[in-house]
Amino acid sequence: MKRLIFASIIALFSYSGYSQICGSLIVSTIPEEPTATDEITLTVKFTCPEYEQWGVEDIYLWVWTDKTDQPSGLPDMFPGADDVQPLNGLGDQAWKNSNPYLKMEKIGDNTYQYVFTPTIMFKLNPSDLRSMGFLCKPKDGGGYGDPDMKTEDQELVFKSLTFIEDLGRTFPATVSANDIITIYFNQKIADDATFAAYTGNLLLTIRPYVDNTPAGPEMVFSATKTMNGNIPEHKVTLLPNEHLDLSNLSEGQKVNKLIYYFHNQLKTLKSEEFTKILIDLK
Amino acid sequence: MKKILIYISIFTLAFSLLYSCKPEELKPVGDPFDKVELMVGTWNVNRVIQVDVEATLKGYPLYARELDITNVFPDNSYTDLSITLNSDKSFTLVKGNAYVNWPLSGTWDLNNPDHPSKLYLILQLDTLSLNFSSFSELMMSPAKLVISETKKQKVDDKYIDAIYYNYEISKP
Repeated sequence: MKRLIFASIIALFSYSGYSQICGSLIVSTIPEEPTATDEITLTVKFTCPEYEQWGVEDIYLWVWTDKTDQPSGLPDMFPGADDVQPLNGLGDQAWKNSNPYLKMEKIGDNTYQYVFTPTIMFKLNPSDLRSMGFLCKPKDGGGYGDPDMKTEDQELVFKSLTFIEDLGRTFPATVSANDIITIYFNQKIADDATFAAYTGNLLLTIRPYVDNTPAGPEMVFSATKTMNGNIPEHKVTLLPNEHLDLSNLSEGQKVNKLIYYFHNQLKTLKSEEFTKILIDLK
Repeated sequence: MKKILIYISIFTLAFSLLYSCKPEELKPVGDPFDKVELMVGTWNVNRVIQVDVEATLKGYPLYARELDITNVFPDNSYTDLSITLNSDKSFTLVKGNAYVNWPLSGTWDLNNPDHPSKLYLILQLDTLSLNFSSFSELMMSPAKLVISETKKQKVDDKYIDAIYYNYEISKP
């Protein structure tokens, strides 16, 4: 029994000496709280003895997400290069041969940097990219009978994209003259104190344009008021090609701009003018 | 007596094991549902949802992602809309006052009869392509489907999805 315990202790010590996993590193990003669409500068400083044991200058990233375990969009990060593989490592023993396009730049003692945009690197939409995992390693990360050389797994959590509601916003944001467009006026975000206190109904005056030339006269629509708590929100839904007077439109021309503002009946209260560029959608 | 009981027990155990190991005959699964046949009939529009694709991809709140436009114009409700797909692959569309630019008649087809993802409405050289969602409610009564018209924006040399008009349709 004593022999067995002794052998186990020896085996445990041997194993811990065999593996060279770095558990002590300082990770920072610019911006500090990135979203998945931000260009992120990732900086890693090694403060572990294993880094010295690796005995290498070049350090590589190894990345993954919940949706993919490879940097599927890596070729898009280097459009000028034609040899970029969308992989963490190359060949049959990928762990022993990191992708050269994931090499981090050494910027100081034990300190490395890599710049990337998550949505591009992983070819994922922000809604599918809440966080990512990464580790750092030498080009040859060991394994296959050699000591494993890597950092512990790290996680970058991305801040959600925030919807910023503009005054006079439209739904959808990208729209053509042949699509249904809803124009909103949320009094909660109106700068004007008089507007913020107004409780009555509003009207929308709108005019279609081809570039800077009016394609028809101004038209007035009653806005529908809905209460968002105590604060009214007004909206008008219309189909520009159907509901606006396009009498000045020449043949072959298309309305590509709307200019509009909200106001009360007597126009004693009037918002700023908003401009909506219409896109040609197929 | 004890021995006889033991032999009976062993025999019973062996028999049950042997029987339980008998391969089970699989019943035939039958022919797959004929999707073309299931599409035939008159489909009525129940609801239309307009979807801002970019807002959806960015995970914005629901009110910034989609809008129910079914009755947004009370005199031009989308529930006026119905489409009859005939077994000879002809179709007729009843628009009522709804604002749609779909052909009123022509021929229809599926992009793949076994695993369709698109319904084509064809009028001479023009083809309107409508995307399907799940077929899970196609065999139910009433049968339900969501067909989607996509508006695309040209960005550089590519066309990207900008707006979806999702039509929730059903047939008795």
